[in-house]
Amino acid sequence: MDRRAEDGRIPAGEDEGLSHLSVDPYDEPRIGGYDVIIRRISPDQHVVWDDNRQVRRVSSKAYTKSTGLAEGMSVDIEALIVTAGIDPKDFVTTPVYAGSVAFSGQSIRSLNLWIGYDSLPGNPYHGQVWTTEPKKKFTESQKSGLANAAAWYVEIPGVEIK
Amino acid sequence: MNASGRGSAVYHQERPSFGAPSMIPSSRGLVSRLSTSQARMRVNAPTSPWLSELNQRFDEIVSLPKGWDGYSGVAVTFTCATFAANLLERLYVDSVPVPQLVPGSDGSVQIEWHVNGFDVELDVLAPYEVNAIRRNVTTDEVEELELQTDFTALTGWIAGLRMAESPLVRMRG
Amino acid sequence: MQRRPAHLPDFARPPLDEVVLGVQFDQMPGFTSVDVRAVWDLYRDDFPKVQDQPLLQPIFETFGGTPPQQIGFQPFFMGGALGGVGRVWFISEAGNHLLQFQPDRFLTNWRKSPNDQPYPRFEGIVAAYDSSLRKLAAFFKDRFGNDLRINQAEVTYINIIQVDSFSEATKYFENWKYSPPEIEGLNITTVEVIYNNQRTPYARLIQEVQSAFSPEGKRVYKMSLIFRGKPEGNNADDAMKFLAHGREAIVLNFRDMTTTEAHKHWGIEQ
Repeated sequence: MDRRAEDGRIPAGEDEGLSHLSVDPYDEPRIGGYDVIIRRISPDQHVVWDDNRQVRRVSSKAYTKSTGLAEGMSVDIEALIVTAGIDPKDFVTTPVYAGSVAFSGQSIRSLNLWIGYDSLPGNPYHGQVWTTEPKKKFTESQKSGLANAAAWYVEIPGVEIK
Repeated sequence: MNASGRGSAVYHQERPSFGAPSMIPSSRGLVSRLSTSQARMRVNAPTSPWLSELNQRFDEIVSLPKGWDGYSGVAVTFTCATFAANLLERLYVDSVPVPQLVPGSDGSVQIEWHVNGFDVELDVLAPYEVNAIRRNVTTDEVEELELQTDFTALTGWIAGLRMAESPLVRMRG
Repeated sequence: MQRRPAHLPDFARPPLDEVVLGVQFDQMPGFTSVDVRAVWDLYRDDFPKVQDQPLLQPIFETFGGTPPQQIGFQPFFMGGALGGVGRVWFISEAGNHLLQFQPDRFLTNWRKSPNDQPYPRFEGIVAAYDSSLRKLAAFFKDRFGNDLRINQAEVTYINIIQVDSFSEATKYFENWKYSPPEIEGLNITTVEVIYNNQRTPYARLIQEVQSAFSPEGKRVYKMSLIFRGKPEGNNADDAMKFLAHGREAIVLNFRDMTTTEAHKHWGIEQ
């Protein structure tokens, strides 16, 4: 059941208190190649010490999908946030403060991945990055491809992206 | 066979019935039994330095609040964490640094080392479902394994993380 | 009901005191203590009594590396353990049969006491357990929309061998050659790794013999045989196959570990 309006938003009031109905993986044509796709990074949980390079950096685990076959990697769709009149950098740092990285729609799709809308209660601008076939995980090259394509959106000071 | 020569267990106190005998005496001679009908719950002290150091971290990741990742992430499941701890206990090698634990949004956990010229990442998706990768940071060569019950292949990987066996040292040699 | 495999030895008077069958499964997302009552309702007609018990820690049979100091190693952290939901026993009216449930385990026990019931045979116990397990799986699917994902199974046979003296070990155990005039106590454990057809280890057969005293003060050997590991797949069919295989390994092992003299005493049927 898709309760989204034309622009991908849940009509006001309808997303509160509802349990999340998972969306089947798909590729959203309204997300363009140049659109900014944001992935939140937890400074407390996703950052590791790399003794080889003597740096703190984002773990590859931050660029993985959930293991359910129809599950993906959570992202925020910048265009939807902007359309709603909200500052995206404010939005992705609340209610839990997080850093975030950003990809272009094209860079994600070039890894043979889909991007689609998947609004959550409290986050109607939520989307997912999915594999194009039911798979439990991204391949190593998809994970490293995401890490290579990422740029800081809200930087975590002193932390390398990959 | 290996008789311990110790005093006999008192059957009428132990009442071993009606319990899943989850604790079995070790082949190294220690008797350690879970007495279920007496409703005792024993949590064993960790036996490797890795788990001693990771005690607090494990507690932290199994207690993460819903939405910890800014989305709908859940805490690492107790089952996954226990399996990861079990695996670490089995893989422990002296002089290899303690690994880092990174939670997944779905209750999984990744065990990782970035040391001595290697990245070793063990992604514990569920009990008996481990995706393992090792990357040589000098050559960029990557090995991948999908493991269920037998982790013998990882013992060489972990041994290679010992400080004395840095590939950089080998190159210079 | 399954038929007993013809090649397995049978005993008219086995020293069997308790049989445990069980599975461990991935935690069901969303399961809370409120749901335990609904689980009991599935079995209440046959198991009208209920009792709280402390949680059993998860246990995994993994291979490679160094075995932990203690087999069945249990980690030390307790935060968030199974959402705070404990273990419950559902007990039959007579007290010989038991179902054990916690959010990641489901077991059944048969035991001889408290009223010296005749052994219903493995086929009877496993048929009842199969039915109960599938009922639980259907309940989870209906209530939570998820399949039961079994990650481990186990079979345990516990035998109680009454003796006049603990020095009688050579009379009962085939490989026991050491026979001093007086043995005050005995505690032996062996652990055998079990491989599948692809030569991959997937289970352990743990054999334990321990001297003890019965509640009446009589000397006994307690001989436990445990077959535990990962079934080939995650569903009830795979678990049942594993349990059948485990039972076979245990019965053959019991025969091989015990003496011909003991077999006659227990009424071996050739």
